[in-house]
Amino acid sequence: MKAALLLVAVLASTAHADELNLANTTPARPHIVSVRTGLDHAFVAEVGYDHVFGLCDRVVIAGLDIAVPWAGLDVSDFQVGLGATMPLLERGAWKLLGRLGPTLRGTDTAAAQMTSLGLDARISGGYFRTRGFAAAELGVDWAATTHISHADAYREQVYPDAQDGWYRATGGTLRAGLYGGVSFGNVDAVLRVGRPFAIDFAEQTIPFYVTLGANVAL
Amino acid sequence: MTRLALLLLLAAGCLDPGEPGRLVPGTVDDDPALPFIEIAETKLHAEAFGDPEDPMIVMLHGGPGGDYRYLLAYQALAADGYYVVFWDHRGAGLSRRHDASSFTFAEYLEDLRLVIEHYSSSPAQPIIFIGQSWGAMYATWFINEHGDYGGRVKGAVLSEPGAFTSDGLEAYMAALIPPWGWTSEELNDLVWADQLMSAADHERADYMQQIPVLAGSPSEGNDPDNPEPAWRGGAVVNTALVDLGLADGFDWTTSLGTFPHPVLFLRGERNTNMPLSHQQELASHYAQSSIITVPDSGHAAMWERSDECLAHIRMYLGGLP
Repeated sequence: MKAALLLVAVLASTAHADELNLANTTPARPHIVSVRTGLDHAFVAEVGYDHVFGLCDRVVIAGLDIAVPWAGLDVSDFQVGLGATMPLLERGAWKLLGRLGPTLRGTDTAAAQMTSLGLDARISGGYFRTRGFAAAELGVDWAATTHISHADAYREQVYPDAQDGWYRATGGTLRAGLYGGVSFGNVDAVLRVGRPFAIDFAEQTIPFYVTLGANVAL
Repeated sequence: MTRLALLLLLAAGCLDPGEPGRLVPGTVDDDPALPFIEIAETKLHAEAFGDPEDPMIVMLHGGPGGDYRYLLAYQALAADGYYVVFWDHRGAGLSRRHDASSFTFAEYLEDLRLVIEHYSSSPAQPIIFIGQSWGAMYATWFINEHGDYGGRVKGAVLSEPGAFTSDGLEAYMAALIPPWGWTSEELNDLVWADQLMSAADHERADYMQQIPVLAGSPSEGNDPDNPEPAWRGGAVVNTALVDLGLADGFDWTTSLGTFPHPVLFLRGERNTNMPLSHQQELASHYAQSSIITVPDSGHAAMWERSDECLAHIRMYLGGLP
C-alpha cells in the first residue's frame, strides 16, 4: 500500500522507463540512456532517458522516451511517454515493479490526423541479478482522449459531416509479455516479446511485439 | 495525481466515438430518412428505380461490406425499361449492423433470394445481376446454387470478381495484402493507429477500416484522382465472411457450366492484381461468357468509366433473349 502511494506521488512529476536491470540500477549512476528498435505496432525506433534517485529507501526511475515508426518515416506518427518505475515488493533478487505515466501519441492517416493523450500502466515481476534478468509484464496503455481532425479525402469521398474534436476513451492496448537481458558492467542488452490486444481484448493488426534494446548507465 | 484527475476530467467531457453520426454516418437503425427494406430479421438500406413490372436488375456492390453509392449511375438503366434494385448487403454499407458470430453463409445467400422476392412483381419476372468485385462473386454464388432460378435469371454482368473458390480467394488475398510494402507509410498508419483507436464498436471498426481503404491499393490500378465514393464500410461483416469462406471452404463453380445464358465479364485494363488471364480462368467456368477490358481503368472500372460500362451493359442486355 505504501509503495503504491509512493508511486502515485512520484507521478506528480512524470515518467516512463524502459526495461532495466533493477539489480544494477542505483542513484550512484543516476543517468540512463536507452535505445530500442523492433516491431511494436510498427517497425519502431525509440530513445529514452531515465533518472535514478532514491526516495524513502526505494530506488525510483523517472524518465522520458520518444518513439517513431522508422519504416516510411513520418514524424507525424510519434509517441512521447513520461513515467516512473518503482519496486513495489522486493525479496532478494525477486522484484515486483510498477510503472505509470502519461503518453502523447499521434498519427496522420489517409482518413484523419489523430492525437491521443493517455495513460500507460504496467506491472512487471521477475528475477534480477547483476549479470542478467528476466521478467514478465502486464500493462494497459489507454487512450483517454483523442483529438480527431478528418482529412479532406474522408469528407469528400465518404462522410462530409464527420465531426472533428476530442473523443473520449477511443481505445488502447493491453500487453502481456516477457523481457529479459544480460548486463555487462553499466550496459544492458534487452529483449522484449509479447502479445498486444485492443482494449476490448480483440487482436490488433500486428498480434505480437518484439524489440531489442540497450541501456547505458552513466 | 493531479494530472491523472485532469486527464479523466478531460476524457469525460469529450465526444463519444461510438455515437452514431460522429465518425461515420448512421445506418438505417439510426437515420429514419434512409430508404430500407426488412427481410430475415435484418434491415437493409435499399432503393429501386423504374417500373416494378419491368425486368429486374439486381445491383450487387463490392466488399464484402461495401455499399452501393458508387454504382448509382446505373439507375440510368431504369430509363431503358428495367427495374433497378440497389441494396447494401447484410451488415454492410448503411444496413443494420450485426455481431460477427451471427453471420452464416447459408443466411447470406438466402438474403439475396429474399431481396429478389421482396422486389418481385411476379414469379416470372426476369432477373439480371450486375455485380462488381465481391458483388460479382455473390451473383456467381447464387447462380451456382440456384441456376437460373426457375428460368428467371436471364444473365449476369460480372465486373472484376476476385475468386469463385476458397483456394482462389486465398491466392487473391495473398497477392493483394498488404497492398503496400511491409515498410510503407500506409502500413505504418494502419498499425500505429491501433494504439489510438480500438475497433470496440461498429462505429469505430467501420471508421478504422477507412484508413487502408482511403490509402488505396496500387496493384488494383484505380485512378487516384477519381476515387470511388462510399458511405460506410462494414468492417465486421467483411472480416466475418472472409473468415467463414476460408475456414469452411467454398467452390462456386460446380454448376456454373449448366447456366444456360451468356455472362459478360468487365475488367479494368490497369488492374495488375487481376490480369486478363485471371478473369479468363473465372469466365471459363460458365458455359457462355465474354470478357471486355475497359481501357484506362482499374478495379473500380464501373465507377471510373461508368459511361463506357453502361454502353457495354446496354449492348449485352440488348442481346439477351
